[in-house]
Amino acid sequence: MNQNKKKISVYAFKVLFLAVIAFLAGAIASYAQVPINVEGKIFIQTENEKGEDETKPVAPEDVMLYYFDSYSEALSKADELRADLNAFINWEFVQKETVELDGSFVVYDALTGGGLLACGTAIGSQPVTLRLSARDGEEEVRIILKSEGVTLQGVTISGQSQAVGADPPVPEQFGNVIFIKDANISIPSHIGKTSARLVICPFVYNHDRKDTAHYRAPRVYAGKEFYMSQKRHVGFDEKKDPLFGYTVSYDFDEKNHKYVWSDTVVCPNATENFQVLGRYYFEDYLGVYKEDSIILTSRYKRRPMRFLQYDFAAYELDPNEYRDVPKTEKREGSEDISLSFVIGKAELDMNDPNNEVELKKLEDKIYGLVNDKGSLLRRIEISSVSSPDGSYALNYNLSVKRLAFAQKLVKSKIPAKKLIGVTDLTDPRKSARVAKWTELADILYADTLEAEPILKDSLVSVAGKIYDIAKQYSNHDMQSARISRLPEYNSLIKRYLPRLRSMKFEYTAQVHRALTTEEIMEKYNDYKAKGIKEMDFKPYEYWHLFQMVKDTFELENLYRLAYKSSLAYYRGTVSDKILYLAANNLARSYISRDTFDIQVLKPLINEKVQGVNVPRKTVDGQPYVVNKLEIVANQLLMCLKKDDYENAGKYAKMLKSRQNEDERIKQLVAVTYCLRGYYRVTQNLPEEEKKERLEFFDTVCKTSPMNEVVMYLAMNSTSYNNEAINLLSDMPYDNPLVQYLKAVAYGRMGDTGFNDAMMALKTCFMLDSKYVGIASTDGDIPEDLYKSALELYEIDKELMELSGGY
Amino acid sequence: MMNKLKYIVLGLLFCFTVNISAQQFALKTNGLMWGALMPNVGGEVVFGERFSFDLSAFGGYKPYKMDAKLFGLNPEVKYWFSGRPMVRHYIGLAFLGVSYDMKFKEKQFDGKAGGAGLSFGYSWLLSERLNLEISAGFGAVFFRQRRLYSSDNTTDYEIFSKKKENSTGVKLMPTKIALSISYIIR
Repeated sequence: MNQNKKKISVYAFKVLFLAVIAFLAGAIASYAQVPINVEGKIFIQTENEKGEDETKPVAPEDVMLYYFDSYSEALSKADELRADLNAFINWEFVQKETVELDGSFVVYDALTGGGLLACGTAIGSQPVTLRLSARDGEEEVRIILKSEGVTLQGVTISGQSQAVGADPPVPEQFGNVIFIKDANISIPSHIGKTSARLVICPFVYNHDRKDTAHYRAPRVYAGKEFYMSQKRHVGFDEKKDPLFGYTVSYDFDEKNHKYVWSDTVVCPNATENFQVLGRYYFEDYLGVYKEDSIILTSRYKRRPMRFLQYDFAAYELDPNEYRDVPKTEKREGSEDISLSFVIGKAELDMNDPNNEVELKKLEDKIYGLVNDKGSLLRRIEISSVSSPDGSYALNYNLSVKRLAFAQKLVKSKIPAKKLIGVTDLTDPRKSARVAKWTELADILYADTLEAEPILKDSLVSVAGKIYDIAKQYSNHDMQSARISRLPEYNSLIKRYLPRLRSMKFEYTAQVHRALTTEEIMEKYNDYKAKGIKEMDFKPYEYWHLFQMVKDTFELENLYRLAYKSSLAYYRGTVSDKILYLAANNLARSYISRDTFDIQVLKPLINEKVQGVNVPRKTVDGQPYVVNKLEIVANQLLMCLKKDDYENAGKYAKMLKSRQNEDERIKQLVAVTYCLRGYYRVTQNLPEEEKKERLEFFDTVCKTSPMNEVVMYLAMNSTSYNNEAINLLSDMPYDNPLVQYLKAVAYGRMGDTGFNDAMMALKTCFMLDSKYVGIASTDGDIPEDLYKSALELYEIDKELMELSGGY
Repeated sequence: MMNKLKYIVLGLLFCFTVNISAQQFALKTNGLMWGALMPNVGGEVVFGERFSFDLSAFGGYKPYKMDAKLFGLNPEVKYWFSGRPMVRHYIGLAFLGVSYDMKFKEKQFDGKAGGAGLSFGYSWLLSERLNLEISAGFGAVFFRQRRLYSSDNTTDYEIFSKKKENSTGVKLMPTKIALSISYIIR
């Protein structure tokens, strides 16, 4: 029995030992060292004068490269260098590798599991270590040293690039839309796996504001196994996976390890510099195991339509078609009458010459109301307010008497038959009142705004005292008594009392005729004189004012008022005449001032209806049109001014149906489509679309020689490029745009055209320095061309300054 | 003994049928055993994010005209590295229990063996429900058997009509070798 137990324990030990060996030699990857040759290149990343990152091959004298048979030795040597950059002096038997002039190197007979150590010398970067593994390296090893020396890009493992990288193409931008075509996203094979998915979250970055403009929908590339195994999960519902809907099923290029990405990005505007960047995440069943940033488009963009020239005048509506019919309307008005009475009596003070003037004014007003043809008086009301000084009862009674006097006076001017049906408050007791002392205090406070500083304090002080007294004593007479004893009563308060006294004559009349143009103008001038901004006119009055007022600023204001007031009643039918006229005129005014507001005409365009001047009928059979051509055309013009080519395209589509009727419309439509990039013909397009695009191209070319050049260059092909060069050679030499376009054309010829391009660009800068900024971010101007031309320009500029401009 | 084993297997299967509603369950069979003319069937149940339990039963009756009868069970507990059971690599603890009666080169072996060992495997996803799995296990197997020569008078080894084992021991040997195809039922 004991022997059996001993046997069992021996065997158990053997089993355990073998299990450990099997574990190590089993499914886990072996770390046995295998010899490989490693080829690579070392780059240095620095910041240029613009603050942008710049990567270029490192010079041999600026870097040290060592190879070690074990990675741990490489790590310990790296630590030594971090502590002391000269530590390598004491290293014996350490294999130093040669770096060529272009930063390239080859390490022969390296072993997997070994380590490379790279470190900058004078540039002060941190040392970098690499572990070599047993995978075949077909791609170049890339080591990038950063001068600040923290993280690396392109740290290599076994001869393959490590990072996910996009081959950022130079995108084309048309207006505010960036078209990205065939950006290759490379996935190193040792990062991606079939049991993982790659999530790329693109976002648009605004370089001018140094801020993110907006985020775009993520793209998910899933390994074959990833979703297959996920769906096996009991209860798995792919609809609950927020990323599932963004999975794209493009073919993955296995040989080159890449996905191809194309997209259309709408930016907030066309003027600022946007770039598409992104974050990528590799996620397997256990979570995210790798993430980093990625550049999806180049910062430089080709904007082939940037220099397209066009200038379209705004479209006018015939005012006679939009004349509104005057209608019966109710008019209300009021007049302030300033009559002075004998003190303590309800008799007019005939010594006051102002009374005569006021009476005459009142008489004229009443005469106009009652004798005007088509005018029917409906209501009159006279109210009176007396000042608060003294006894309330006395003041009130006096006010009533004076009001009764005024009522009698007014009625005496109106024939009896005109008073039939007129409502008025005959009881003066209801229309008369005594002003409160607090009203005086309010006036005093209001006057502090414009008062001189010395007076301001007094006004505030007195107003405060009056408030206090009014609060303390509820009885008016007590208030009067206290206030009259204030020291400022005679000097200040008494001067303000007349402002509380007033008599107002209000009326309502029905007018059965349109106002004459003189009356309308008078009314307008009246508003202007009183500084009233919210003028109230009827539609036909606005119509007349549009014809009469000549000042463009005032006219625009009238258009705006008419638009706002009539928009509230917009029904989209024939009755909206003044709205259409006002809106269109307002738009024309904006266009002539080279500005825009696309919200003005938007309510008048039905985007669901295709075409312009589409006939419709109201319920009772009255015809009208939807999408008036002039309205749509002006809206399109404002969209073009705004560089909003997306919306411009919609309106151009509506106008397309009429382009053959009007040459101007044809050009406008063609320019819009070309600005959106709708001019290139590719083989996969239907025949009709090819024909249409060619027509647009031809139409725009015919608008001007410069536009012809711009269109040829926009085609971005050798034959068109040559044509453009021929045309440019006949154009004026001293036109900076001509020189710029020459630089673009010659620059596309590569080395053969480089010198011509450089000289043309330099000349352009000399003629107009604004092109320096334009060229710096133009994808059509290669960086080396730009730098060379800029250098020459600066030298020439200096020489010119030294020689006094000759 | 065989009857007892049958009842044990049936009982375990019954337990699995009760628990299936809560877990992923797959049916599988080992192609290599079929190659050895040993029909076999198994089931695998997932529990948790990384674990699964596999139970296979196999048997053989005179395969390739050999004088042999055997019946066995192969339970195994697996740990899946990928974080998803029945996908990619795993490591496991494989058990083996077998009852056999065979004749080989004038010797007869009649007994039972049981053992345990470590196993490793890899599973490929062929489709949403189909897997191909390769695995191997190695460990210690304890046996108790009656070893006779064919010329032996077997009655000498029977006392009161009970068979008496005359050979016990432990061998280091594979506890599992499989190339299996499995079908995930749910």
